[in-house]
Amino acid sequence: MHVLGWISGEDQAHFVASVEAIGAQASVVASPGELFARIRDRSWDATVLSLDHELADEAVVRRIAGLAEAGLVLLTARRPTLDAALLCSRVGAAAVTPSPLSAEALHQALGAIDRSRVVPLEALDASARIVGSSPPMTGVFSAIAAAVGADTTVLVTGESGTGKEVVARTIHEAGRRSSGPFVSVNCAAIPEQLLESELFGHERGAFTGAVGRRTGRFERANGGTLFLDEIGDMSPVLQAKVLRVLEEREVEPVGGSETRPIDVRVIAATHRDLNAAITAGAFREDLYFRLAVLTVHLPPLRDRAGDVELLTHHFLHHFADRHGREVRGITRAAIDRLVGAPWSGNVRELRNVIDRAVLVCSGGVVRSNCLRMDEAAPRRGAVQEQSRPGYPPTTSLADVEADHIRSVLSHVDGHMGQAAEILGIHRNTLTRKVQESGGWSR
Amino acid sequence: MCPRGLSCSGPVARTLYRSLRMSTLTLDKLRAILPSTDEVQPIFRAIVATSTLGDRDAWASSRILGTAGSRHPEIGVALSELQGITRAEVEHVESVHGLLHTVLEAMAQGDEVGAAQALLDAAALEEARDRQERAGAYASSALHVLVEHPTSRVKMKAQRRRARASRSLGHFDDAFADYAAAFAAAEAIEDPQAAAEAAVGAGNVLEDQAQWNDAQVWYRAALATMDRLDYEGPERWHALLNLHVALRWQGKLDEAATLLDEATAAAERVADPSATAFIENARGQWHMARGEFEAAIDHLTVAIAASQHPKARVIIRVNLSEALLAAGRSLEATEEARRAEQDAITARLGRQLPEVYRVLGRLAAHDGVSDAFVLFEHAIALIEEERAPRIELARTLQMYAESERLLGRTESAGDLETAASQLYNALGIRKRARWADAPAELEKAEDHDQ
Repeated sequence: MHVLGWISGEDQAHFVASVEAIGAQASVVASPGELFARIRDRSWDATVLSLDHELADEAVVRRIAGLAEAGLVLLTARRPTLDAALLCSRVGAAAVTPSPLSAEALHQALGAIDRSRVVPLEALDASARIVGSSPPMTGVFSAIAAAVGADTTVLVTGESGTGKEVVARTIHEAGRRSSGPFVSVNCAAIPEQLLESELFGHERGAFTGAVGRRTGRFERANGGTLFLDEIGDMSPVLQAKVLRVLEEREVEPVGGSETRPIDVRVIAATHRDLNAAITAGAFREDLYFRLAVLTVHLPPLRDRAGDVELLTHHFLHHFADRHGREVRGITRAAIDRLVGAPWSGNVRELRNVIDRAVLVCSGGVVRSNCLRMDEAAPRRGAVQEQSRPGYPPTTSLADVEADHIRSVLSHVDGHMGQAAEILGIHRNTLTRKVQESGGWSR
Repeated sequence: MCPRGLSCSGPVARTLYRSLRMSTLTLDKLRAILPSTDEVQPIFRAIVATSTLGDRDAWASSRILGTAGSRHPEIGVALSELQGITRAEVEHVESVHGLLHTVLEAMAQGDEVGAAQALLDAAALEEARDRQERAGAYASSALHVLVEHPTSRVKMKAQRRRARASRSLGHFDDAFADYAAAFAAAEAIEDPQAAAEAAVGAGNVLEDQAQWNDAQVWYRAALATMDRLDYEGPERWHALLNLHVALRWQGKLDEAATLLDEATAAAERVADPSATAFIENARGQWHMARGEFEAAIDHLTVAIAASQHPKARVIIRVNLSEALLAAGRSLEATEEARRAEQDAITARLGRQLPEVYRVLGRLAAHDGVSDAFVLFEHAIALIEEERAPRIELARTLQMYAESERLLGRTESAGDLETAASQLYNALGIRKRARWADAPAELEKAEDHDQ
């Protein structure tokens, strides 16, 4: 970030120090002529003007503030007056702050630039199926590579929305069965009475409604891959039948008496804890070991928050293309909001948020107000601790107590009895503490 | 042994309690246990209305394929309603018996019109419980009693009542014959309101069979009668709106737009606030027909806000979902369809659910979800369970076929198309390909036909 300053002589060193303290580069000019020349020479992120200069009249300040290349214009004055504030407002400057300019004031002012700045869409490999560069994904990529190299059953685990089917497809397409079919079946979505015939097929007249022979998914996947999604929801009866197929490599359609050989690679996935299900007797241990020859565990998005921005760019490209919309970029504020979201629905939820944002946002830029997301849910794990109220380490216990009492009283609309109950202290004690603090009751 | 707080004295309660002990009990499993009789249906509807999505992960991939059948019954909540359902059933039977008492008394006194009116009241009670066959039977009895009263207004009401029951059961020829007879009788005694209601009813039956030209003749007849007898009432905007729909389906969009404006003016003249939802819904569909999907979405959104009845709201939400899908906003389309599902479940509108699952099935197929068939299969199961007209089954089979084709399953698509075609032929319906895609229309005329 580059900041240009037209600063009074005695404050110049302080200005440079403040700019450098926030990690930006400072340039100082001595006259309005040089100032205009430097502004026309290149674009600046911000320009700081000292109103203490004799030549800093309104016309000059207005002219500088009107130049787009000047970036955000910040005014400083040794004694900020009402006139200075009014001038600031008239010329559209960001703020007027006391000089010498402090790093804190500069940081605060520049935060506005950073947040409204449009981050252009990154050029990404559109064909990439799995997007991520965070440390947890390194392990995932290694596990996928191992699964691609082996032609055995694979169990993909992870919370809902982490992309288990995408991983299964990737393994299939990169493996030696890629020329064969990829057939997927959702074991949780299909009613139990239909699932058996969907998996194994049925013969004509096998049951009411079976008007013709139907080829099951195992047979349809012959020579390729069968993806059994949400296998943790499969009934024990069907689990036994699937295990038999995996062991004997043949299927017997419902209502049939002949078995048919199959050559299918099975990739199963679940968001459930199968070990817990085994302990509870809801999942067969022998089937688990048959499926989990290789495992790929997908981390939740909250554990790879570093990938949110990359995924956002990926989905922006995808949905801009899909919906025929031009998307040039996304604001920093929008990215910050996305990175800070809890993502209980993981990548699927992020994908949906971006899908909607691309349709809703106009002007080719995705802004924070285009993002419709559920931020009510607290983030799990370590991140949850961030939501605790923070007090600077220099705050006294008395101040913390007073602040908390004030907050509780506000919550119960000043009702002392209710506040005392919440705080777990006697009403008289609360009254005394309120009086000692100068009183904030209703 | 019964759990504490529950009474397991009745056979239904015992069955439910046995179900309670089943693990991972879903409505599909429960449906397989309970017979689909008139007595069980209100109980099952209560169970559906109070069911939940269970502990399934909100973001699980199976959620997109969720149906009423995969929901979980809250048996305790449903059982707590059982007493109220039993009381309502008893009150219903008492009311019907009371009306039959009135019928017998009236007949004894030679008051045939009074007897017929009581029979019609009984028909209304059955219709309110969506027992169309019984409603039709009582209306038939009323007509039998009034055989010597060709110009009685009660007879015309009975004809319309029986026509409505026949239409609801998919017996289109019978429905049309009764509406036509009611119209002729109303014309004879110069009753514009009754004539308009009957003519619009006849037009609706023809529309059910995609006979747009013939339907228009009846809507125009309704308007001509009202003009001739200088009648102004809500029946005018009903007729204009229905005529608009028929023209729209024939692609005569400019003429249809004029009629929509006339319907709006007619509704304003009689200060009928209920018209807004119907007219906005029609405007939305008119824009859909022009390929103006965003405008359609605007009008359908207003229509939902203006709708006063849960059934209308469900139908408009389905239409909005279709518009969103057409606009390429499949995510919002799915959300809207799920809202329609929830509205239908809460309001116990089992008959509306198949069309909700049809649109959800299309959306899933559009998104390439290979198991989209689950939603169509559930729609078919509901049609059978609700004893809905066969035309509903034909529409579902055709949309099912289109989705299978979209997913590349041509063999299955072919089988389904053949089945749909045979059903359409059996029902004597022409132009089925286009008709099957028709968004649901709101039919207002019959709401007033009491």
